[in-house]
Amino acid sequence: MTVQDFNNCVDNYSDGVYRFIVKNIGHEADAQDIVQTAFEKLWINREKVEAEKVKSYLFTVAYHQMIDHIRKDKKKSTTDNFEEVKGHTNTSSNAELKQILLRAINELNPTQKSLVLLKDYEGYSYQEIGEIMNLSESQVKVYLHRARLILKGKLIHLEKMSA
Amino acid sequence: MKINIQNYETHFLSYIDNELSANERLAVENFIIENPGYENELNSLKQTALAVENIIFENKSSLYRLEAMEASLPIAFKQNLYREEAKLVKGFFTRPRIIGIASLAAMLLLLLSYKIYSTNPTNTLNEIVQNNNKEKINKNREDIARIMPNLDIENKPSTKYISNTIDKPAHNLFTNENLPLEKETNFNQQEIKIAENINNEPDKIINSIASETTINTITENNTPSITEQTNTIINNTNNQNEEQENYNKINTEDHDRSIYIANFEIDGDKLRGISRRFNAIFKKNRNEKQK
Repeated sequence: MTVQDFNNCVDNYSDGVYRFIVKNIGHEADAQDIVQTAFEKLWINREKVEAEKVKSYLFTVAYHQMIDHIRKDKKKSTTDNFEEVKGHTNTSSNAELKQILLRAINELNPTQKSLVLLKDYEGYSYQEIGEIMNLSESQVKVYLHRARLILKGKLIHLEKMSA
Repeated sequence: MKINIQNYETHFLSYIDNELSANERLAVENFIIENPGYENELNSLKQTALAVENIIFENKSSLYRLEAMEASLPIAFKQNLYREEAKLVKGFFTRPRIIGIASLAAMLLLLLSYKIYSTNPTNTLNEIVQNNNKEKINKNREDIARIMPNLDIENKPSTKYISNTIDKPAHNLFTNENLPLEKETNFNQQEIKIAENINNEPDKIINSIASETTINTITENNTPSITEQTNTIINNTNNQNEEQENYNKINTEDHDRSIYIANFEIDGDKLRGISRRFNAIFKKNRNEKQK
């Protein structure tokens, strides 16, 4: 990997990695540090990492960094994380529904949250998510489906509450 | 697998996750057409999927790697910058080497000082012997002067001759001149013979060695007493010679006792003492066994 290739990876994947992390932990500065670490590791292992697996490598490193960060900083509440990055989100007609959904996602556990984020934001397959999160494909499918059903239930409940 | 009321939820979720093939997707859509009551179910599940957001990482510049950061000097240019000589000098005078050199120097100094110390006592001994001889000669001269006040010992050739006979062996002993000791003893024997002759035939001897002024003066004054005096002087000289011989013997024996291993001198006496002790121990053991 040349310097130019690496910089192209920064352009292509840094936003996605940052979004994934910041949506998970809800803290911009910490999320930036994690992204920085992920790209540092990519640079160190630039000769070992294959070009087509760079993106999943970055997400894998960032995910494990994030898990370590969460373990170290359990006291930090992840609630209202999405409000912190509100400024970056696009406002639409479904803004209210979105807010309800974001609140529901924040109530998921980190694994479920990561599964939803990786699937919906990055469009990864079950297999790819399994590689990033060190899970089997069937586990990803089961956990993700369970997360969606929880979200569906929460959405219905919150809609009723708001109504 | 056909979609039915029992398994529709899994198919719907896989449909939302975009994990179904084209045919499977079509099967789900057909199930909804056939069962419109499940359309709301599908829509409520679709609402759980997050819409893509444009969140931008603003500190991309901190992640970029610049070409200049990876620039390195050519190897040939780096080799020009190396300072090998300085490294060599620094490498030679390392702390252990300096300590080694210092210890060697100290060892040499010790050896030299030991050598000087071991050679000095013999020199001082020589000086003492010579001084003793001179003192004895002076005493003899004083005795002669007392007995024969008219005799000018200092200027007489015979006394000079006697002093020479006394001085020479001592000198020879320590200056390593090739004059043999036997000759000197012969000299003394000749003198004894002369003295005996003087005692027996004083007139003949006076005539025969008339050329020697000392003997003349001696015979003129008192021949028997002179012979006694000369005998005592000769005896003294003989005693001195014996002492010198003794010194010589002691010195040579001492010299032989010392053992040299390379430049190190080992005291033979001490070694003999140690060997005797060892022998005594073994003898003791032998005796005990015999018992």
